[in-house]
Amino acid sequence: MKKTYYLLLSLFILSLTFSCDVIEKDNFTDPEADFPWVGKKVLIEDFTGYKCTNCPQASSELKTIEELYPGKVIGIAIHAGFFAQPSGDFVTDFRTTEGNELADFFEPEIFPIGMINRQGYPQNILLSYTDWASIAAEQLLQLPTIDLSISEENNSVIIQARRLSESNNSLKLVVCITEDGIIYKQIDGSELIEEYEHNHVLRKVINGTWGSNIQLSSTLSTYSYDYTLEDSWVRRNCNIVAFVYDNSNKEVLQVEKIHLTD
Amino acid sequence: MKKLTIIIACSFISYLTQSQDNSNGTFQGDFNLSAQSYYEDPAINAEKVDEFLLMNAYSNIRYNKGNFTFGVRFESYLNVLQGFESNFNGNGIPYRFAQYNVNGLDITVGNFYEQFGNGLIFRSYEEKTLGIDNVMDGVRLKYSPFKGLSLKGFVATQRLFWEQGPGIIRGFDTDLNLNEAISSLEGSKTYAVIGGSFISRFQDDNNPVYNLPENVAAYAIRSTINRGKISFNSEYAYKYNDPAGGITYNNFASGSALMSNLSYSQRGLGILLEAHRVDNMDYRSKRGGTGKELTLNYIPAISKQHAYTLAALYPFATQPLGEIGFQGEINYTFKKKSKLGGKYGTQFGINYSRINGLNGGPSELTINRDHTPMFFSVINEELYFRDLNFDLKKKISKKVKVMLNYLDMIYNKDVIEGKIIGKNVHARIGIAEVNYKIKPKHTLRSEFQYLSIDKSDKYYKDQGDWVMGLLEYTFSPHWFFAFVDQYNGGYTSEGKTYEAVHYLNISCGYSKGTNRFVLGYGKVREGIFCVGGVCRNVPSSNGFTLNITSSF
Repeated sequence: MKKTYYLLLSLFILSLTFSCDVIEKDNFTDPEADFPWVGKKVLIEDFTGYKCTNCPQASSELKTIEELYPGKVIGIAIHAGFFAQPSGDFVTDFRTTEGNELADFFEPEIFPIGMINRQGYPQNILLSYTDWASIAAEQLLQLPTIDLSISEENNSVIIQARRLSESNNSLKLVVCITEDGIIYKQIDGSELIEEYEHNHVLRKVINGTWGSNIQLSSTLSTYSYDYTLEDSWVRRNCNIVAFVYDNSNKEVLQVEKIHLTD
Repeated sequence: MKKLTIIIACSFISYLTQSQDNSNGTFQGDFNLSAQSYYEDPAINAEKVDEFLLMNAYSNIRYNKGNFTFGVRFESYLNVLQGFESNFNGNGIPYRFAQYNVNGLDITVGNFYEQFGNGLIFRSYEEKTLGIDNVMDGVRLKYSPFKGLSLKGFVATQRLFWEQGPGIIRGFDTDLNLNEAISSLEGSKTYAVIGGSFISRFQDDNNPVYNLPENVAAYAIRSTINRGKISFNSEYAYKYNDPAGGITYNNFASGSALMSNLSYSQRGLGILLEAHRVDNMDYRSKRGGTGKELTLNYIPAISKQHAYTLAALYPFATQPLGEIGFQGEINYTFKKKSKLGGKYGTQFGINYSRINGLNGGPSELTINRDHTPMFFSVINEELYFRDLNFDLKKKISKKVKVMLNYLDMIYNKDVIEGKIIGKNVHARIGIAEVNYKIKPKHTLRSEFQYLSIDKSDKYYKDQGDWVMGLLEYTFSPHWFFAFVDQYNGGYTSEGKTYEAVHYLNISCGYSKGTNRFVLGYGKVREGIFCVGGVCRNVPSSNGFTLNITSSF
């Protein structure tokens, strides 16, 4: 009798731990999700490489997040590390000096991996691509602290920025060029795709890997940078991406992008 | 926080030692240090490191008095050795616990390692050589209300380098020994234990598109039956929907694992038959975790774990997302003074294992696809690994002992290493080891190993053939000296030609009491190092190595 009692007690304890949510197929997604956006944009930096078997999944995730939040999420694909190293039939080098410096500093080891607004530095800055959408959604709901805009004329970029809230944090401005629509090889799972479309590819940081120190107030400040595109880059596929980050914790406070035209 | 832990630990130990008689209670400890210098060596793609010297070290200290145990482990990675993740860099005490047992109730607070059954749904363990330490941090209780029934339960988070993973894990396990619990079965020739376990992970769902399960559960049931020389062990595990997250793709399929082994053993003969099927059983304390981080479960390897260097060149790494495998092994000892046994007897072993992918891949349940692989299908399925091997151990005389091994293995580099070669590697390996006792306390051990790659078009040539020789002289009980040369005749990969290389290594060890020092110098080839089917990449290197171990 006593043994039966203990067995029943064990089953009772087991039932307490038995927590499980089973999602039915009709309910996999939640199309009615509320999204009160108030102006902060999100930068997703994707450490990638054309020889990295799982990297296309991350690129695809980045594209889907951009489509989910049109104009609010901006991606940069940083080709760096072992998987981006040219060898054999992979001849073209998508690595950049600035991208290599970022990889040396943030030390991605497992690819693909990325940073969302560079938040979480130093321990939790590198995030698996399956976490990007959730973290990006959290970031998008925050109040913006910087107002940022970009314009471009005659190979010169003009950035205007101002603070939207009182703060003494030291700020830096980074301006870079990315290119979409580059057709080149990519390993995808167990396949080699000869004509894979590489998007968001970091081509150059115009004002150095860590950018320029800036002092912002509540009134607009203007910064201007000249740039040149290399012959192999297609101008109409290029973008100027500018972002302001807090130098003390590396967190990106606001980001903007414009698309170049011929 | 780390400083606070150290202060509390020291104060606590000090309190314990002062508050009681010195003859009561015992301290135990161990220490391990591995350091290596790294030089640039373009011939083997070895890179130097900015620090010149890297080091992994740790020390466990444990105090026990009666029913009370307290322990801490200090770890130091300054900076971490190459091949381990740099997130380990730093010092700290990631492991501290107190355990008390009163009237059969065992209470652990702090860190603990635990395994339910064979580990199919839960195994928290450390393997320093792999850079794995998924220790739990929380509260664990064990209780045996009556003879034959044992219960375990815990609520905890899991270690992620110097932090904790985001999931909260709840677990419960029970074992019922039928022979002990049911009086009429006492003394029965058949001995049976049945058990069951349950695990649940809680993690917030912040996904903006998908409804992800916040509580993801898994359960397992198991049995062990022994009768005479026969033993049968089996476990079935089921994992509920556990999508990785993200908004492009989420797989809501459940997972399952089934493993069984049947063994027969009598003096001079051992037979083992084993099979397992694993489908979508990557279970972690973080949704969508990758690499070796935050693993909650462990799928036991179903291929033989080889110790000889070239036999371990192509090791199989268990694929928790999906595989079906079989293994059979026979070990037989030819008796002394028989025809094949000779004067001292002869041990002979044969082992065969084969692991395939699941039919059509692992289970998948997404918005667009619903796929469940056939439960059993091996013909025409993708081969992941196959190993047929023989070993023979023979004592020739009082001074000479010989060991011979032959292996024939097929290795799917694409699946195991994530490559896109499209061909398997087929290797045949022959190994001979001779131990010669020169005189009391003086032993010479030599190994010769040869790995031949199948160069037919059907297979991938990889790095071609390898030869290895080893000579080790042991002067007991204090000294040993070893010289190893691994030779690769050169090969071409991705359009690049690699010249022939000798990977020379010399090492010398000194032991006294429980202290052991080993100093070595040489080249390490790039490869994969595995323990129990879990593997890590080892980069090539050139430099000095120092290993110190001690215990008290």
